[in-house]
Amino acid sequence: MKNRYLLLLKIQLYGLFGLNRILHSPSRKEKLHSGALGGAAILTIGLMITYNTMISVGVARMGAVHILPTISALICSLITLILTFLKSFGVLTGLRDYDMVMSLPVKNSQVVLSRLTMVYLANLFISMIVVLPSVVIFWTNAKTGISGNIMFLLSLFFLPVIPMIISLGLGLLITAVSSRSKHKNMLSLGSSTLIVLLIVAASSRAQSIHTEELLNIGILFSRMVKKLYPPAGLISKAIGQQDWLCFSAFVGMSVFIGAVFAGTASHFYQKLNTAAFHHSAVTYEGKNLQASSPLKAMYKREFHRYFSCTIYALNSTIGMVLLLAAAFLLLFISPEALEQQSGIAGLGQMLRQVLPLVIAVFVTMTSTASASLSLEGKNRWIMCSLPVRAIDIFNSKIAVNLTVIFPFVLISAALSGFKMGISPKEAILLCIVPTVYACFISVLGMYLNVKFPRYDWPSEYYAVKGGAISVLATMGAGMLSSLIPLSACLAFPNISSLIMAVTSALLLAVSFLLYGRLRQYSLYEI
Amino acid sequence: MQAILEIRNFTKEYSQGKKAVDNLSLSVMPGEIHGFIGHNGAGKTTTIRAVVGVMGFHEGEILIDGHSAKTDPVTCKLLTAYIPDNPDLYDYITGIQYLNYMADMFSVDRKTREERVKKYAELFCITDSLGNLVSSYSHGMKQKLALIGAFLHEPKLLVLDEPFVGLDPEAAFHLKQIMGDLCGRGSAIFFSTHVLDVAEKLCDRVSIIKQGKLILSGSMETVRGSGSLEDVFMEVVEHEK
Repeated sequence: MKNRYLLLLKIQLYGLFGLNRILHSPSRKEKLHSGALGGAAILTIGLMITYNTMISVGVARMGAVHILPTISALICSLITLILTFLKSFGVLTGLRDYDMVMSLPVKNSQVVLSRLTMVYLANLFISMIVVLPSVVIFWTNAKTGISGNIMFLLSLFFLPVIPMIISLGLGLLITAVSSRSKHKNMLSLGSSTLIVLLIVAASSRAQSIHTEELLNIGILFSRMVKKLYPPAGLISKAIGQQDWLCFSAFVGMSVFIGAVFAGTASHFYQKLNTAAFHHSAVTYEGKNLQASSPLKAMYKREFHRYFSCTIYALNSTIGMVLLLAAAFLLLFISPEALEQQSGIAGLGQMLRQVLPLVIAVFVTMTSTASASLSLEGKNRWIMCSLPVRAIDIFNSKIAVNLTVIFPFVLISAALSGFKMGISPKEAILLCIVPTVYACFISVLGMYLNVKFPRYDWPSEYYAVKGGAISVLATMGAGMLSSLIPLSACLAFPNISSLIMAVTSALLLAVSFLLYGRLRQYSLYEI
Repeated sequence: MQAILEIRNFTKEYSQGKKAVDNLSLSVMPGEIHGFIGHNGAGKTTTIRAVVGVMGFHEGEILIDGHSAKTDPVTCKLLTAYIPDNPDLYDYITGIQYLNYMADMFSVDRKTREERVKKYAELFCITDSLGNLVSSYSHGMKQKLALIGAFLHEPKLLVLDEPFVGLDPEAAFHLKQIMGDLCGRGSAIFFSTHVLDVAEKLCDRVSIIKQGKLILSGSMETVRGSGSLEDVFMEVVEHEK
């Protein structure tokens, strides 16, 4: 008899990135699409590896190759911590196939382990992208013995474990606490946002250690690591001093924490899911019903969808929350202090010049539209049979994204513009550039979701994250569209206004073009 | 008199050249309850999905009250209500929010929607649950909610795919009554079912489909003759083998 844990894992792997669909789909078009996207994904991964390699080479040239294990461990842990937390809802609780899986002859522990393995594999992939280039540079540059090199290589398999468990644990805790509340989704969303802000605040605090210590970069990083994540300090010590005992302690700690979490989660698995699926019943008393236009009704329904799904709201709004937090932070920091802390002369002036694009970077992280169609899932028969045009449905989804973005952008732009004392010309750009980006990312997200919808998801996580091509592509294209002109503005500050104006005009034209394409779609074609 | 639903030479071909429905033509007149029966995979749901605009098609024509489902889908959908065999509704809204949403989509005025929600919710005994999230509903309750949502705009054409599956006997009784009332007011009903006894008692006309082809269509009396619908169904299906 095959191990049921492996069978559970296999069935989940079938759904990952839609690989099974690509293999078995008779549609040539679908295969071509997937092939092109696969190529783009490989290119992106290649770029990330190149970038990490360049950083590692840079660190080695500075003569600080010995800190590579620490940096890698820290970056890998932080990325795992944030990314896992953002997807922690929908990994262990609230899965659509819960009833089906639990009716199978499997133990809770097998179900939990199979789910955890999926998250671990995704994090291991990130760990490889981050750590492997450093391992190679460390091997070729550091004068550490073979033991240190082997430990560094082996560490990449264990680095994601503890941050992953911390994030999943926090996610479960929030689910458990909020499930008792009538407004559990709002409570869950609020507490999750707060935790992400705390993680980001903690990491930025660690990065703002006094710049005079830059001369002794080793001290800086070891302090940072001790502050943020002691296990990374352990691995750093193990590799640096070729201490197998230290390494074993790190591995043992990771395995122990992982096992304790898996055991605890297995024990409470059914209770947690019962709580997650629990609904407080109320007796309906007839009220006056309010009539709305079809577009408004769809818009309202989209908002219900938005707030109903923590993972959807959290992932698509986190950029805006960070933007607002940064704008508030800016209120209490003078430009001089900023320059002093960062060690970059003229940072205040530079920031003032590129402020519209800095806001645009956050805007391009925000696209509720890119998952909105996929989230229709099995309900899409309703959307398809309604007496409205396809474009009206798309408009309602685009409108939700704009509604999410605009208040945050407006407040953040006003606060930061006021603090930096911008000129009227800069104020105009500050209004236009983020607005254009908001329209662009909304239309782009909608268009890409129309092109690459994913309806057959077992939990919303797979529609919002977990290999959702439309979401990844929107975020990737959006970030490129803002980071490239931002880099250009920093390189050529004299013509930054021109760069921003040209970019805005270009993106507006692309938005119109994509919107025109959206108008041509019929719902049943999607 | 103009048919409310007219399907002309409808053909739906899937990839690899397999025809799910082949050159199907039939019409449903005002006031008529038309049963659509056939084996699993015969092409009933494909036809129904094309009629309600959930699925596109290239060959043939489907007219609803004279409007083309191909060129004027929004008008066609305004005249139609559809309930699939397994209605997955929005889990994240309450029953009343779902009904209000459907009323908005079909532009039902406030007074009328309140009256109809009250009437049908009481009839199907789900008034007390309307304030709860749809995710807390049983399969039968979701079916009832979907039915109420379909009745809110008094559709000219009601299309139902296996409407009696999951309904309790009382709800099934009321559904038959409502179907009769709707037809009495000039609407037409086109529904698929495997329950031949129900089809026999309820339908004015019946069409039998097998492997995508219409093999028999006519008034219940003509089709049934002196036997039962079940006898006729078994006979034609066996004969066609």
